[in-house]
Amino acid sequence: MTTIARRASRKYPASTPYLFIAPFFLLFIPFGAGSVLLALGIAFVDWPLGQSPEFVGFDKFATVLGDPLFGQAMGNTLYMLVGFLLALLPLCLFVAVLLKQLRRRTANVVQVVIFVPITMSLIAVALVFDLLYNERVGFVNGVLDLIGLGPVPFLTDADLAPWSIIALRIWRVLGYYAVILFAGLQSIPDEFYEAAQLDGAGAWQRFRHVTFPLLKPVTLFVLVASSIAAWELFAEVQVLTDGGPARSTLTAVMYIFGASFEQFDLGKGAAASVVLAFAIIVSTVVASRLLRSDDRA
Amino acid sequence: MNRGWTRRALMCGAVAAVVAAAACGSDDAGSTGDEGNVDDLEIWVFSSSAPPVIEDDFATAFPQYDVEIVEIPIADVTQRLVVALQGGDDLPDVVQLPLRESGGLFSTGQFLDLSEELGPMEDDFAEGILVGGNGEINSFTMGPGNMGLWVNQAALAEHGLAVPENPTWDDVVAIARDLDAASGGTQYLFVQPPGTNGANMFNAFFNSRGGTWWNEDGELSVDEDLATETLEFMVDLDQEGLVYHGVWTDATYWDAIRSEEIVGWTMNFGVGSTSLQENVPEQSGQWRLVTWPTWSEGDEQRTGVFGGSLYAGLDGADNPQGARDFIMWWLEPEGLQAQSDTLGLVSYQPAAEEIDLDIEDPYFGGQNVRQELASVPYPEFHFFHWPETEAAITAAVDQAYAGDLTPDEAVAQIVAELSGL
Repeated sequence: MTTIARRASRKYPASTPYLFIAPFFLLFIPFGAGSVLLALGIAFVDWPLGQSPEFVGFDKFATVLGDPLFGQAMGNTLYMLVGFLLALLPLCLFVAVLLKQLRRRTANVVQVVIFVPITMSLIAVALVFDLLYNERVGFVNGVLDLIGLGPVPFLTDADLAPWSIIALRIWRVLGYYAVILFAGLQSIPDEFYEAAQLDGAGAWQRFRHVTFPLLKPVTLFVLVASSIAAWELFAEVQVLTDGGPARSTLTAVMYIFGASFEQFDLGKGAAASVVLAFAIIVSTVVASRLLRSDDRA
Repeated sequence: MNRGWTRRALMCGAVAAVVAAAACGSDDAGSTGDEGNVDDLEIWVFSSSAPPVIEDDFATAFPQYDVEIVEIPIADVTQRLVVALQGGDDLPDVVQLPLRESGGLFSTGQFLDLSEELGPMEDDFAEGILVGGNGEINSFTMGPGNMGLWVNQAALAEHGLAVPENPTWDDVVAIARDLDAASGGTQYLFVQPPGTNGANMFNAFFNSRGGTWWNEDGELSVDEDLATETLEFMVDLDQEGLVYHGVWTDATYWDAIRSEEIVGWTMNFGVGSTSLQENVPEQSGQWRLVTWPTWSEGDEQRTGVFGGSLYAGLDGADNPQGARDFIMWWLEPEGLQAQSDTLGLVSYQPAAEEIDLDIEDPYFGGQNVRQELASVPYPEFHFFHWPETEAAITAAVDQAYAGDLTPDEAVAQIVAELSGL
């Protein structure tokens, strides 16, 4: 123990650190862990509106898993998640690498600018995109019209609508994750690049053999955080397409909301949310395993 | 961590959660709470025009109630009610509900049965206005969503066109074709909104022909041929290029009305008359209401339902007598006047004998649009399983308009989905 640590331990009682973290747990236990446990409990009961719950075992899980709509909602969510990640990660890396090429002061300004979308209200952003995508007066269609490509039914075509949602999400979070990756890039010592350059490595080889491997922990965080958010897709879809057209953008969380607050079947909604949580955990484990296995290779 | 211990901990957690859930929803769910405080009357409303009327008129008529009004956005009211009902306390005495959500809620049996009060008055309402579940009458529809065809007659007249008196849909389609030809395909007499609103539009057309999805007992009861014919009618209009695609909640919709791109649309009073007057006041005198066209000459004139609202009392709340007094007050002369002032259409048929409903509207060239709309009732319609029904219709109608399904395949898909409920 260092001298400073010894002094500190004499000055404060051993319980002091616990007091500092207590406020977090005071909120987390009832509203975090408590609600998770309650949701888990509700998934095993049939609870008609205004009546007492009745234990039904795994019935609600069977209902949810046998419901083709839930399969469609999970499929749509997964489709949009994969599309989102495949587009987001390379773009984030590209922007982060570009940021690194800039002078420090310029990079600071650019970081602030690209970070702004994540600070905006999601509903406001969705409403703005609703106007941008508008077939008659939307800016995007206006531009496409000028070059003879419009109008494009961004939100009313079942094939295009999921990608229109993905584009909105990428616009909103690109700067946020790019800044995180940029911070990771800055932690890579310049000596590694100099050594690689001396060994004759070109720009792609330096990225492939220096940047990417050393950036893996940060990339893993970005991958996990963005995929969890993608599984929980709800508000922007609710505003832009309400799950349509033809249920092409119906997501798992919309299904859960509908089961709970439109069909008044809290058990079904809770069971669906447990299945969704399981899917999130599995996808997180798979993502971390994939990056780890690359490490060993 | 020891694997066995982990498993035990998880099991304990799950059991504890189930016990907690059971405890939360114990037998007294929805119980009355403080019985002594009978004069409090809590009312949840989503309509912004309701609170002043309730505070001024109802509270004056019933000074024995200490009225508390809680305003909740329409999108949240059902969610709040579900949480309150499951929590078992803090229930409002009365809640204002969208008609479309009432079927599912009333079938839960958690609402006051007003059969004793409203049953003897059954003949005073058109069919489908009294609503309830489990054989009870729980409320009556206020501001019923009778559909009409709103027409910019001045814009039509520029092309020498006019909708005749008592038209059939064939007459209207013929005018829409003439308008399309005369305007070079830039003006529309029909509107088809996307998504849920589009499904409800189709539903209103279907209902106007006597169609319904569920019967009064909540059993599936669809005339599939009628539904297919109705959808064919709408899809054909679209394929002919006679339909403007857009929704009135979109600002660009009102630009299209302003520029006379839209010169006609089928809608109820609330969105039709009220929104027209608010958004395009400069077109005052240009518009008129055509009551719902018939499907064939000589048919009885019936419209379709497109929403409405109602007040319902909660069985487990503190003040059931106050709730009954409040709901029935809307059928007193002051309440009827309040309905007319805030909602436009009054569903209680003897209302014209109690209050002045002879209201000429200068925006529509002096036409009494409220009375004319109310004079064409809609056939009985039951909003059971409505979220699922609406979602099934929305998906199938979307696919039919996109050409992915034929109308009969779309209807078969709806019926297949509803059969599984």
